Amino acid sequence: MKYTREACYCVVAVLLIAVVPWTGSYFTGVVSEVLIYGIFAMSLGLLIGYTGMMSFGHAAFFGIAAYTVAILGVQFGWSGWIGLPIAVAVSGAAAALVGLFCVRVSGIPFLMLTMAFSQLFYSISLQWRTVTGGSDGLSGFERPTLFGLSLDSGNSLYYLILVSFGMVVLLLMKLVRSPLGSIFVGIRDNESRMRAIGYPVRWFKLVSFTIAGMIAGFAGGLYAFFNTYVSSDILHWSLSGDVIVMAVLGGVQTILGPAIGAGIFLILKNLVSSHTAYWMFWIGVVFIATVMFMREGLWGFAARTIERLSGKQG
Amino acid sequence: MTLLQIEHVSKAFGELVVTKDACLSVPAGERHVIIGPNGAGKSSLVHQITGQLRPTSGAIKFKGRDITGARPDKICQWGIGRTFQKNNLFRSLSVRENVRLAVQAKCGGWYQPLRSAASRHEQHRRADELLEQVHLTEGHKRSVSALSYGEQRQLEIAIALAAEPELLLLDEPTSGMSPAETERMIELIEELPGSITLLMIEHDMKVVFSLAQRITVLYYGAILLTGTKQEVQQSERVREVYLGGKH
Repeated sequence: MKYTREACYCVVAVLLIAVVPWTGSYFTGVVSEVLIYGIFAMSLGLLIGYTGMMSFGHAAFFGIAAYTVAILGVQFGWSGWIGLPIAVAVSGAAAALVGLFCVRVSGIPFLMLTMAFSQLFYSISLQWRTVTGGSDGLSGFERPTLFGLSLDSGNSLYYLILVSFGMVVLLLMKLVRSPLGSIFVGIRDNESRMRAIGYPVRWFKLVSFTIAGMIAGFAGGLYAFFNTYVSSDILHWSLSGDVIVMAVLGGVQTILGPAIGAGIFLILKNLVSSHTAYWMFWIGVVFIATVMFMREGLWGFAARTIERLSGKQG
Repeated sequence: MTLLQIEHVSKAFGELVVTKDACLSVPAGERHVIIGPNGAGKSSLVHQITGQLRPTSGAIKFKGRDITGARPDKICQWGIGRTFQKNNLFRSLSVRENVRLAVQAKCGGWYQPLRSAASRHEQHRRADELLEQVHLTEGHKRSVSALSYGEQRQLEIAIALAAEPELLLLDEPTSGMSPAETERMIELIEELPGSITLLMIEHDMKVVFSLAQRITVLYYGAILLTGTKQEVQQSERVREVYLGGKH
């Protein structure tokens, strides 16, 4: 039983690498979307679960990056490979700027302020028609090629997204165990004591907010690759709400939890919406059950159970 | 040398005045205790020294530097450590990580995002050393919630010591402790190196008279008297408001 957890990871990795690509383009597409939203939700997990900052405007950085890639591609004809790093940088800059105002407060005011800023970007995307296409959105983004291989063909886009996902997981796992990560965790646990022992808490909240914004931006850039079409929906506050549900559903105090939450959310959405228009209802039922009976989220609960069964606790 | 100088400090919340024109100077190496009835403004005064509260008027100087209204983290880095009246710990972390975080605050290396914090042996060694200094030698991997109340008070001090403060403010270190735990705490405080100047709030007269070199009596936000044990014991005013009064 000692290696239960590692064995689970291996099975999932083999499934993702070797099995999913053979299941046809529909299912591969669903998994790609799950992985992209997984990155997005994990970045929010860093904020909520590891730094204790409940942001209700996280879609802003996802959306800004997706728009950046699409605008650079469609309006300027720039390759996505240039667009993606620029998008991450733009999201990071936006997060730093928004964060500068938001980290001055915490709790409900922080939540409202982040939402207000994200709605600001939402209305810009609607009003600035010449650049963003307004409510029509922006279509016609051409996927770049990878080593001469078109991302349109076969599974190359899927593998790109899968590798990106793996990289973000590794990066976050390293981060939360690092000295910098330990400061974030300390802030989550006891902000005032962190201040009293000599940490400039606001500054580190800004650092965490910016890192989370950049990772969300990375997901947003990939979303533009995947969807080739962006509309203002991805800047709307309801997406910020969805990603909170994903993160909390999976468990915010684990790295992978939010990604698993994203998987459950999107698969439920895809499965249930083909049978009934009330798919939101069923997600609500699952969400309420999780919050009531598994406070640490589905993955948090599962990870703890595995740990207990394998006798690691003690 | 005067380490801490409080000059005509006042603090008011609207009508309520919690500190009234307080003047106090603490020379380096002194063990100074602040006493006063409940609500006398003792904790508020400490909060103003360490930046949790900003004085309405007056100045606080540490080693000649004006620290009035500076941020708590800055004040800590300049050399003033503190504990809290109510345990103020990182409750979801292990005992050792509680102290290591404070050691890290002092040593720097904050911005390493990829290196494992577990590999920082020097910081762990220092954390263990501090835990030993406060007589918490067992179960470093326990979580804070597994500690007894008295042990948590000891941990409070280990965390404060990690900043290697020149001035250490202890806000009622023995509050809520059993007599045996109080004995241990007195011993622990007596063992602190003489290089650390102590400014301490205390209710327990036994603790006060066994530790204090000088005593300041606060009453409704104002300093009634600062003097030696004998001076305080002999003062009629102090007797009236505190020693012989309601207590």
